[in-house]
Amino acid sequence: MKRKVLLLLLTAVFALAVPAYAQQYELLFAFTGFDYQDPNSVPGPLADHADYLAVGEGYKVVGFVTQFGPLLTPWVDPDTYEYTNHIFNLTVTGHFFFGGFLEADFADGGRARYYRDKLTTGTPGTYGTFPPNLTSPSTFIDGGPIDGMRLGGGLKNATLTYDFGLNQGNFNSEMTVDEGPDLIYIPASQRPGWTLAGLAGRPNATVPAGYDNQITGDCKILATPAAHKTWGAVKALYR
Amino acid sequence: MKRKIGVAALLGLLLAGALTTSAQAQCGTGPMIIFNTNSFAYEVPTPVTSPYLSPAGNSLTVVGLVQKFCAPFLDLNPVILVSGTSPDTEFTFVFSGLTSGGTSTATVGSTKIYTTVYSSAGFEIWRDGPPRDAPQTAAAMPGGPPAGAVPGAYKNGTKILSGTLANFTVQVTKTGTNNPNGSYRGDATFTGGTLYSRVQNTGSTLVHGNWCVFGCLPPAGGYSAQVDGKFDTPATPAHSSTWGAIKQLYR
Repeated sequence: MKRKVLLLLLTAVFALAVPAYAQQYELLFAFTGFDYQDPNSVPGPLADHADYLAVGEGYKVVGFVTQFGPLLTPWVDPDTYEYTNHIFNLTVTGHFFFGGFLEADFADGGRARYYRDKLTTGTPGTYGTFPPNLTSPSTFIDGGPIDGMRLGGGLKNATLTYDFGLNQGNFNSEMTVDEGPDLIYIPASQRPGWTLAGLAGRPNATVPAGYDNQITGDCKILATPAAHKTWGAVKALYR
Repeated sequence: MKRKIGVAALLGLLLAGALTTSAQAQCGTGPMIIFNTNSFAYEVPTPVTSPYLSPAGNSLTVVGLVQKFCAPFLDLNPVILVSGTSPDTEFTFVFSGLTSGGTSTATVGSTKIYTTVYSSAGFEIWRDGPPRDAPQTAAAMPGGPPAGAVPGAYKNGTKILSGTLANFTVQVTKTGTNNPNGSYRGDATFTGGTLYSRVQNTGSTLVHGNWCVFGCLPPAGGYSAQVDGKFDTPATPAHSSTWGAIKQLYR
């Protein structure tokens, strides 16, 4: 009897999990932008790793959504709205540096959101310099009571790695979407399990003063490689 | 008469600017050409092994779709649809001829680092269709490239831009139990194409983005990375000119 109940439960779990772990990745949204440290308790030249993402410092990203995946595409309208994104509440808990390479680890609890703001009457996202400033992040997180934040999620196991010799790095985090009016377009089974990842790079003349890196990234559910097993091996799991 | 034509041209440019407000609003500052996330890399003749070990001498090719054009290409609209059935024009890009110098590895903290530097090569951006013939999704990518539409369907139509790629570097990291993830970065210099005049004499610019190596590859197999990214706006102005030369245009 217990075995039947267990099998029923497992079947239900697999049925719910199938849409989330297909054989190909599924995009939620992609973005570009710039990142900065806030709070930045150890300010200084970015060439010195000790000043970059020291323990206790905060990490933030502002930018523009450049692409939506199949779950959201039917519900968004880039001809009418400007879509912006904001990553915040990430605090450095680990800072490891050796041979020109940095690993920064963040406490769980960071958040990523995207917003919409009317192109005709809204305020265009404006980076300015040395954020936080009069326009950033404020013009990336506005839109009024009807528009504004559309979808957001919590981050965990976030890391950023950076090679000071190559001037490139990447960030990587798990994400569970859990807020915003557009959450209704995400099936319950697909709200956890997203990966938020992207490039972090510099130097470049397009990086406004006071920002650290330009960011290009996306949020997607990764495919799980198909496992090849025999029926005997599968049955053995439940004996 | 010339002056009237000049004024008309200026008004036309202003109108075009108004019509492209939407596209500009999504660009912000920095990007010039933004890639669609359904862009993929593969190497021959030897498969890249997990998480990213590229044998020296391998040839890397990246094929992909353009998601968005920013200034000075705001008049181009890829209008990429998820369904992939749009009859609209498609814009595609290809990086080819990148030869792997082999992957070096290192460890810092809990992070393992895999760095691969590639030899200088070239890139092309094409305008094609309708209809679209390049695969629009990961599922539509043929297995074991080069095969089927890869890379041929990304290199047909009109070549609007081409150039060279230098210092192309891929770095993949795996921190703790997290999935591996990476980035790429190269210096692009425009040298040709039907729209070359818009970026002539701009010097090199960065092409860079995320380099996903796990859970994001086409199911048909044979690919080494899923790519997003962009060409940045060159740091130098698109055209060097004098006020005298500009006034001469309208006399």
